[in-house]
Amino acid sequence: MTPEAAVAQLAASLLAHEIDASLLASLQQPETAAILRQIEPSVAPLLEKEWTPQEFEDAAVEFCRLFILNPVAPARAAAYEEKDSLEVAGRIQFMLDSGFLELPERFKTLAPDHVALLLLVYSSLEGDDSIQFKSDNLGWLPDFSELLEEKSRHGLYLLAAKILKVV
Amino acid sequence: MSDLTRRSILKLGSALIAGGLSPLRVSAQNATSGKTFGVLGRLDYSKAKATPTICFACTNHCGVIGWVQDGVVRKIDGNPLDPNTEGNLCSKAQGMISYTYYPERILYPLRRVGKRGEGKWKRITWDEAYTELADKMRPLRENGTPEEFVFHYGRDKTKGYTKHFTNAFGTPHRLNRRSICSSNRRAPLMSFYGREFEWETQDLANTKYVINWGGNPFEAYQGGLFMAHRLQSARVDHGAKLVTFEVRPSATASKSDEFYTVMPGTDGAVAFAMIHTILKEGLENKEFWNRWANIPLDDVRESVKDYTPEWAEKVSGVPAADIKRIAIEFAKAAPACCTMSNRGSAKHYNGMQADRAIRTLDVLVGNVGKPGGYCLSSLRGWSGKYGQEGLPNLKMPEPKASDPKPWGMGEGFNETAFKKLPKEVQDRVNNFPDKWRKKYFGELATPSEYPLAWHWYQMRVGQLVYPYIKEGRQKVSVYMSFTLGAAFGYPEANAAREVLLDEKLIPFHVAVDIGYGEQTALADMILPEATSLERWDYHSTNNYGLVPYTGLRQPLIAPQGESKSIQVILRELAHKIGGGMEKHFTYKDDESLYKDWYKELPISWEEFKRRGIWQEKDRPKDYELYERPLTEAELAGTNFEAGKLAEGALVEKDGKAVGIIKDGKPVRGFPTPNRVINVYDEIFPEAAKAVGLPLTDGNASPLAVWHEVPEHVDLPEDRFIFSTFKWNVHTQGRSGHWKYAAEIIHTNPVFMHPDTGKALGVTEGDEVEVSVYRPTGFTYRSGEKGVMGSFKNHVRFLKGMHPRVVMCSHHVGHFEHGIVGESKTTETSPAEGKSDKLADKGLKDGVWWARKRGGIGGGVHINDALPINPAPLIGGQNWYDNVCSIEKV
Repeated sequence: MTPEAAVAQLAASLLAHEIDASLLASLQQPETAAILRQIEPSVAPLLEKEWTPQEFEDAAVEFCRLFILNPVAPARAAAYEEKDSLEVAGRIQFMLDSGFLELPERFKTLAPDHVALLLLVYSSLEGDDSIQFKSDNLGWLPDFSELLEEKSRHGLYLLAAKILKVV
Repeated sequence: MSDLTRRSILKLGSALIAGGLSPLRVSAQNATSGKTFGVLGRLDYSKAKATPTICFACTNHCGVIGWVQDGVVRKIDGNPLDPNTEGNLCSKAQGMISYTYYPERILYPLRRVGKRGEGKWKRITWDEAYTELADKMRPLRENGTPEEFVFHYGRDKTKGYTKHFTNAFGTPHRLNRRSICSSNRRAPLMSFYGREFEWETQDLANTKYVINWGGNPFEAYQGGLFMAHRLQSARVDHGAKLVTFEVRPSATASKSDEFYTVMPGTDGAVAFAMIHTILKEGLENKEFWNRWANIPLDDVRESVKDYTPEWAEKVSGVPAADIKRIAIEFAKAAPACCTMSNRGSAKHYNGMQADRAIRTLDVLVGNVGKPGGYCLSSLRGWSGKYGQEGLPNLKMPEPKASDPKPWGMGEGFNETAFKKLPKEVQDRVNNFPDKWRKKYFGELATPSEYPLAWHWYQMRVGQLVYPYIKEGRQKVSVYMSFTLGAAFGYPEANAAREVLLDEKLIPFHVAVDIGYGEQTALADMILPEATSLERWDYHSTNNYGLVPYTGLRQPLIAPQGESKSIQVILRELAHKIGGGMEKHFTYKDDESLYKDWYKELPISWEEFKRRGIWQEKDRPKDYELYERPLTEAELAGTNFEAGKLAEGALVEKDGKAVGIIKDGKPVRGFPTPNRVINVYDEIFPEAAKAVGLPLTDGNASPLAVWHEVPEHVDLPEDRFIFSTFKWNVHTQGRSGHWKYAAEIIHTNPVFMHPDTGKALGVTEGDEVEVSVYRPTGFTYRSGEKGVMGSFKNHVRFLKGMHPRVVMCSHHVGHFEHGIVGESKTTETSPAEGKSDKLADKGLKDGVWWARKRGGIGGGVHINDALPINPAPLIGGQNWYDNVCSIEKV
C-alpha cells in the first residue's frame, strides 16, 4: 500500500463508521499521532489518553449529527452532485456486484455513493486510473471537506476534513 | 494547520503503514480496469434490467416498471399490464427513486441520546434495537396488558401483516389515519351498500355524464390516475360531460365542461335539489328503486319537497336553472351516468348527509352497477365473500393469530382493561347495544363517542388519539409509529407533539420510517424502513376496468444501508419477544412468504414476477353483481327451498343473510344486512342516541337531510372559510424529501379571489395573518371562544375561487424534515458569497427557493392552527369547515 492510499483509507475509515477502540489505537501510534497533531492541533488531547465510554459515545453522537440523521455534512455524492449521483452509485455498485471491491464489515451497509467507498476505490488505483476516477466521482470532495470543517465540533472530524483537502 | 502538503501526507501515510494500519482490500485482478468505471452508469436500455413492481408514492399503488442498471434504479415507467393505469404514470412515481437514494435517508437503527426531541442520536445495531424494544414489550404481554403497546400507522399497505403482528401481540391498538382522510365518505357508502363497498368504482370509460362534488381525480384522489385517463377518453372519444362543483378551480374543475363554485359545506344542498328536480320531472328509475332501495320512493319525495333548486341557489350560490338542467341531463343520460364525490363534499359537519344525498342520486336514476354507471367492483381482498366467482383464494399464509378479546362483553372479554377506563366511558359503553359492546376495544381503537367510526370496521378517530392519551383514557407504555406524520399533518399537530414529547404519557416511542421528520424527531428509537423499490407486498385494489386483478410489489434492489422492510422488522421483533409470538412468523424471508401467498395463481411464481400483474382479462366485468344468482355452493346450508321463499325474502345461512329472492329466484343482492340498498338507515339515530347527540342534529337522521354547518350559520361578513387542498406532485407531508417535487411546489400561499383581496385591502404578495376559530356543533372543544390558532403567509389571487373562501395547500412548511423539506441551504451558498461552485447542482446548495438564497422559502406549516374537529358519530375530520378572520400584516 502506498502512503497516499493509506491516508485515503484513514479518511475512509473515519467517515465510514464511528470511532472505535481499534481505529483510535491506530491513530494513537506515536509517530502517527505526532503528525496528526501537526495537521490538526485540537486532536492532541484526544490522542494522548484512553477514551472513556462517554467520550466514545460523544464521538458517536457527533458522527450521527454530521453524517447520519438529518446530517449537517452529508457524506454522499447525492448531496452535492445530485444530477450525476446515480451514475456514481452505479459505478460503485457495479464494482461491489462484480467482486472488484471486498469491503470490510463496517463498510458493507454504506450507500453506494458514500465518500468512504469512493475513497476506498480511489486508494486502490494508480496513475491515470486514479486521476480519471477522482474526476468522475469525487469532484464534490472539496465542497464536502469545506462543509465538514465548518460544521464539525470534534477534533478528529476536523482532522478528516483537512486530510480530505489534500487527498 | 495551513501547511498540510503532499510531504506531510506521505509522512502520515508512511506512519500509518508503519503503525500497522490494516489495509482495506480491493481485488487485485481487476485493479487495472479502473478506467472503464468512468463510462459506467449512464442509463443504457440495452443493458438495464426491467422489473415490474408496484409504486408506493401515494395511495393509488400503480403498476410500474423499474429500470435497474449497475445495481441502481435509474428510471420508473408505467406497466402497461396494470389494468388500472393501462401504462400511465404520474410524476410522483419518480419520487421513489428520489427517496431511495436520498442522501438524508435514514439507513441505520438509531437511539436517542439526549432528551427526547433534543436531536441527539447515535447508531445502534439491529440486535441492540430489537433487544431493547423486546425487553420493553415482552412484560406487557406477559403481565396481561398487551393493550399498552400501541401501533399507529400513516400508510400501511401490507394487507394485514401489521395486524398479524398486533394480533399476535394481543393489542387492539393498530391505529390508523382514516378519519383524517376519508371516513366521512366511506360511512355513507357502507351504509348504502355494505361493509365491502367503502369505495366505489365508476365505469368512467363508458360513461356519458359525471357530476363531481369536490373530487379532484386529475390531481389528487384515491384512484385518480385510474380515473383521469378514462374520464378524458370518455369526454374526447364519446362526448361525455363532466360537471364539477368546487370551491376553487382545481385541475379537475378547470378541465370540466362545467364548473360551479359552491359555498363550502353546501354540496349536499345542490344534490338534494337535483333529487327534487328528478322526482318532479318524473325522470327517476322506478323499477330499479322499487327493486333495490329500502324505502318507498314517496318517502324520499316527501323528504325533498322543500329542497327546490331556488332554495339550493340561495344556500350554495349555484344558479337554480343550472341545477335543474344538470339534474335533467344527468337523469336522461342514465344508466351511463355517475356521481363522484370525495373530501370536498364529505369533510364537513354535514358531509355524511351530503354524501348520502349524492349517493341517493345514483340509486334514483338506476345507474348502480350498470355500464357507464356507478359501479361497485369485486372485493379487493379476494376473500371470496362478494364479487366474481372462481377467483384464486389469496391469503396470507402465516399461522393466523386470533383477534384480541373485546373489552365490553363477550366470552373472555378484557374486563381488566375495561375497568381502567373512566367511569363515564364505562357507563356509555355499558349502555351500548350488544353489537357494539362486542366490538369495543377501548377508546383509542373504538372511541365510544364515535360508534360509527367502528360500526362497519375500525376506521377509528386518529386525530383524537393524542388528546385521549393526555386525558388518561389509555395508558401507553410502548408506542410504535410507522410512516406516520401526525406531528406535522394532524389537526392541532402541536397537541400531538406535546403528547409525543411527554415521557410520562408515552414512556417509549419507536418510529419506523424511511426519512427523518417531525414524528421521528420525537422518538426514542428510529428503525429504518426499506422503500417500495426494496420490498415485497401483496397488492390488490378495485379496478376501474371492472375486471379483478392482483399485482406484486417486488424489490428491484436490496435495501439500502441497514434498512429493512416492515415485514422483516416485525418478524424479527416477534422472534425476539418470543413467548409464542414467533409461532406466527414462520417464514425466513419475504419472497417465500409472498410466493406462498400467491400459490393459487394459475401462473408460475416466476411468470408472475416477470409480469408483475395477474388478471383473467376475459372475465365479465363487475356489472350488476347484485343480480348474480346464488351459486349452488352459496345456497348450501341456507333456508332456501325452490318456490318456498316469498319475493324479497332473505336467503339466510347461520342467521345471516347471504342473498335475496328476486323474481322468485335467489340472487346475491348487496352485501348489506338486508341485501338491498339502505337509502334509509336507522343506524344514524341509534348511534346518536347512544352518544347523546340530539336527534334534531342532521347527523342523526335515518334519511339524508340537509343541515347547515353550525359555525357557518349567519357567518359574519368579516369571517371566511379556510380550506386546504392537495397538489398533484405531493403526497400529504410525506413527499417533503423528494427534491424534484419540492422544486415544483415548495410554498403554500393563501389563495383568494381578487375581489376578496380588494375587500380586505390586500394585494398579491402581501402577508396576511389567518386566525382560525374553534367549531361549534357536537364536536371536540366545541364553541370555545377566541382564536384557536393562526399563521402568517403571503397572498396569491386566483380567479374562480369562491369569494368567501381562502385556501392553502398543506404539504409544505416542514420544520423537522431535512434540507429539502425545511428549504434550508448552506452558508456556502452563492447568496452568502462564499462559493459559486454549487449553484443549483447539489442538494445542499440547490435549494434555490430557500430564503437564504433570496427565494420564497418553504411555505408555512398550517396544521397547528387547524382545530381537531371530528364529525359527529363518524369522527372524520371536518377539514373544510374552519372559520377564520384575515388581517393584513
